[in-house]
Amino acid sequence: MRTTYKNKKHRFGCKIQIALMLAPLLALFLLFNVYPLLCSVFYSFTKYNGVAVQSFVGFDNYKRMFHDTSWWKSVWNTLQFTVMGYVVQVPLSLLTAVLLNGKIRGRNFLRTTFFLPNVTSTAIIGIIFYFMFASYNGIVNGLLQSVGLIERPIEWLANVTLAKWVIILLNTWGQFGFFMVLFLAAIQRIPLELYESAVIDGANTRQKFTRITFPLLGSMFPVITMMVILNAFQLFDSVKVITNGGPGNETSVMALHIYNYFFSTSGAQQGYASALSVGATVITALVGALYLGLTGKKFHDS
Amino acid sequence: MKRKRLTAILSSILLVVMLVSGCSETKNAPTQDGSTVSQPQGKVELKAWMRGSGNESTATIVTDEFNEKQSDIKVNYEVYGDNYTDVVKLAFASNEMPDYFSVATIGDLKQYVDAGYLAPLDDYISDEFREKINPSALAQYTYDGKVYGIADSARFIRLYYNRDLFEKSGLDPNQPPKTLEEMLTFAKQITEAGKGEYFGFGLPIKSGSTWERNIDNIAILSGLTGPWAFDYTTGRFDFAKQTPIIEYFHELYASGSIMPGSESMDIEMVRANFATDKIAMYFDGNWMINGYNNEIEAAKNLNYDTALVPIFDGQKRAKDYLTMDSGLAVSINSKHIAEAVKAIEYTTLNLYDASMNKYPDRIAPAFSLVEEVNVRINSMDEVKSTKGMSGIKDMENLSSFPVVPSQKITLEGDSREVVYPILVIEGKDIEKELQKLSDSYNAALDKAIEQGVLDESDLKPEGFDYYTR
Amino acid sequence: MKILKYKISKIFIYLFLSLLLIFTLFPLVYAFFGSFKSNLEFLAGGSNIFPEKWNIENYIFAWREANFARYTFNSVFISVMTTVLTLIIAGMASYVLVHIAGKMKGFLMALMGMVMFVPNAVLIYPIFKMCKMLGLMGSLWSMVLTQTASVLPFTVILVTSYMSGVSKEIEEAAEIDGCGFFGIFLRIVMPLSKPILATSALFAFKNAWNSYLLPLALSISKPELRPLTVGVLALKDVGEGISSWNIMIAGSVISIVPMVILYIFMNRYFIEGMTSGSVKG
Repeated sequence: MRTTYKNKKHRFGCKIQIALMLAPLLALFLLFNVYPLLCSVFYSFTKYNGVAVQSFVGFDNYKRMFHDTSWWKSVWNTLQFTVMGYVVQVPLSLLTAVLLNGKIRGRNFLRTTFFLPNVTSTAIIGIIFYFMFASYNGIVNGLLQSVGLIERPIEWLANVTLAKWVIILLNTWGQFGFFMVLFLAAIQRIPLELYESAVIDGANTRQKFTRITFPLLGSMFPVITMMVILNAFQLFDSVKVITNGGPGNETSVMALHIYNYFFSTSGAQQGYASALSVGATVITALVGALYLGLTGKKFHDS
Repeated sequence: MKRKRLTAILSSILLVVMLVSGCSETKNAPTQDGSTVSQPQGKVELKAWMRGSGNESTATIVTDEFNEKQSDIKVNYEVYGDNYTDVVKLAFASNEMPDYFSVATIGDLKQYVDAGYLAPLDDYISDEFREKINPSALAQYTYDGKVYGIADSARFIRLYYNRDLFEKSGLDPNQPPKTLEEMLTFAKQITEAGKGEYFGFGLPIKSGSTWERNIDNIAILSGLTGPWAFDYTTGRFDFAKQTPIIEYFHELYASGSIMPGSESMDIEMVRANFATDKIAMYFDGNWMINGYNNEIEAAKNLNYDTALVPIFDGQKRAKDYLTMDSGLAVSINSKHIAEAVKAIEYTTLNLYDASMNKYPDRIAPAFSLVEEVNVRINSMDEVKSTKGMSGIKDMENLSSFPVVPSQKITLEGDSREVVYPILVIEGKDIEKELQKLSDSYNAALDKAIEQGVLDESDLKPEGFDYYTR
Repeated sequence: MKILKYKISKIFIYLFLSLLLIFTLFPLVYAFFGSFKSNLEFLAGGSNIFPEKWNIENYIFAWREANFARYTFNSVFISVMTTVLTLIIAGMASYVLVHIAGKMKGFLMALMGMVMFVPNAVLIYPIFKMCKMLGLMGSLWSMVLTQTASVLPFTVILVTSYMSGVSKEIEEAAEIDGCGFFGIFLRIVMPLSKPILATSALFAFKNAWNSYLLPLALSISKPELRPLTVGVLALKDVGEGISSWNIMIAGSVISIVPMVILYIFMNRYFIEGMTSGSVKG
């Protein structure tokens, strides 16, 4: 215990309070998170079709995972999406947050509007994006053509690289407002006095940002980075709607690959799907550990 | 302090382990679970689930009619669209099953049978019904000699083509392509005439079912393989045999005659573009005649027809591919199996009549598994003169495969649905990729045989022939 | 010179924000007008923003078929309850977690971090069975509890990271004044954490509002328990012909409206919450 307490009686009452305050979290966590997780670990050692456990197969599902080239392709794609998402979303939302923290006309309206996509469902807006980026008769091509930027329609969704960017665009559309709000909350925690004294010292806008805002956002960066990783690793709706992993499995991601084995119409293989999700969790943990290893120390210092 | 924490951790782990034992529990015979409620008046209430939309469908119309026509049984149906299969599985997992429900594929049915969730229907099916129904409708749903479901309609593939676009492109709308070579020429000619307004062919590359509808179907008609490239003459998967057809579709793709954006289109988009005069030809199921004629409001002015699926020039036409994928089954915990079978029998026998009784102006051909219904409805003059009938008249050549091995194996590795799109788009390494497919499918096949899921004698029937099967 | 530079940068800022505004609003506007199109026009005629013919019927059909009054109530109930529960549970737990140290805490945090990444689809069957075991089936609480459980790990991590930044001296001062552990939490830490709690509330609400697969599973036996998402997506038919995309889009436009109104209404408190949380010096 970091906090020091005056006497024994106080400490005991405190412990009970601690236990009571922690209990609801532990209960829900055990029942609806840990238990299902252990269940899927259990299923990963079986042949299971969602209706009945057919047999125990030991580590067969895991061995299979290592030879599943499509799986590793979707892992690779997931990592790509993580980086692409990070590179686009974090600077965009940070910039927007900083701008909307300043004196901008319609500030509240813009904050509200930018956050708005976050409350819509990706599955449904994904369909809208799909039609907007259709190669034939799509409105994006139509607009670009009428402005004269392109001559012939671009095959947005047939080209693997472009399709990936459309997916990232959809994801950014839905997410950047939320990150912006998180950054705003963090910015507003920075004491105004710091800025005031900086101005007295003759700092310009950029210096204020690099010397005060950016370093003091410290605690928000790990959180947002984690969310970007979380988003990318759970990326599913947008890929399913826009490309369904195709052509072939070129744009598939981990969650989609798992889903396909889980809910396949021709013979679901949920044992294998469970093994894949255990694999996904381990991969994520590794990425998380790597990230923390790389940056953890730095954040401690700041 | 430390020890206490340790105890806390240990006891919570113990608790969790106890709970985990719950995952392994498989209830082979679900307990009777008030899923049906008997009314005091003696009227039996049944719960039924169907696949479809909130819209009225032939299945809901016939069920309404059944409820009206007799007073002993009342069927309360619920219609599920997206995720239908998941809904059914979850319902099984929680004993919330309705009395009877539609089965989306025969592969699904097999899983339910294995888990002991379906009631065998042999003792309940009436002799009268058995006499009327096509024996395949029961045979396809039979496992270990017991009938677990009844197929509700006959499904097969035809070439759909737009007569207006044929005429505009200088082609005779009464002469649909008879060979694949001709189809390629036509597709090129139409695309050229369309100048970006309309295109020769529609191929929904994003849909998984595309390859069964386009490539398998031609392979079957050409006497090359069965569905999913399974060769019944050798009892093995042989994807290499489909090479000429894959190369053909690659040529079609490379020639630019397939509507742009097909890579990310599913079958619905292709249908929408066909209905709005943007696609001149594509392959689709027989049921879409009813779709275009009666269900899709905006397709009222579509001037289309159907034709037999073309094959390569100089080849002899083998038997046509008939499937009976959708059907109805009864859950084992239904308290009213006899009544459920009665409702199913009524549905199967009256599926097509009911719609016409309710909407006399909606004329549609019948694809019933009851021969008598087809003969009666399809010989009506109004039916004969409806749009899209040209390719339908010939239904004699249809025949189903008793066992479709791809539905019963557990494939490890990429499925055909993942590999084919790339082959058709890129046209590279076809031989190598198809060999890989054959290897992984055959490995799964061997496992299934070993486990007794498949019987070798079914896979290589004696004297099998694609032309007479 | 300086003023000119300032003006130019202002212009760029407004230009950037305007582009971002268009990017944000365009899909919504496109969806709104698309919801009046006929199904075929929607599927085939993407390059027009406005429909050829305005089909109000899409809305009438969606409203009638999707039982919107009932489903909206369900969605609001589930989302509000989830938000309230999440805030209470996560707030208390985070405070405790900030103040204790040791292996148990590290283990719990790591476990929560991991659980967040498990693909949701895989957990559905066990969660479903758990609800069955606890006798929650057939009640909206099954959805409230499962939704709460699904956002808790993230929320706890988020709130913990924020609270650890809240100055310790304030608490210690309060403790000397005779405040109990819970009292400190209620009177000092909670108000100080308003910004992050507001953010968490939105996160929880939005997640509960938009979740689809789990509510679908939990409402199969009782369709009257469906939340809006399940009701709306059910409007799309993947049966044999062409799905009713237009009806589904109309349905989703209706389903977004309550959320937007609620958001605009809450936004005031939200912004207030964010600003009042700033710790002075």
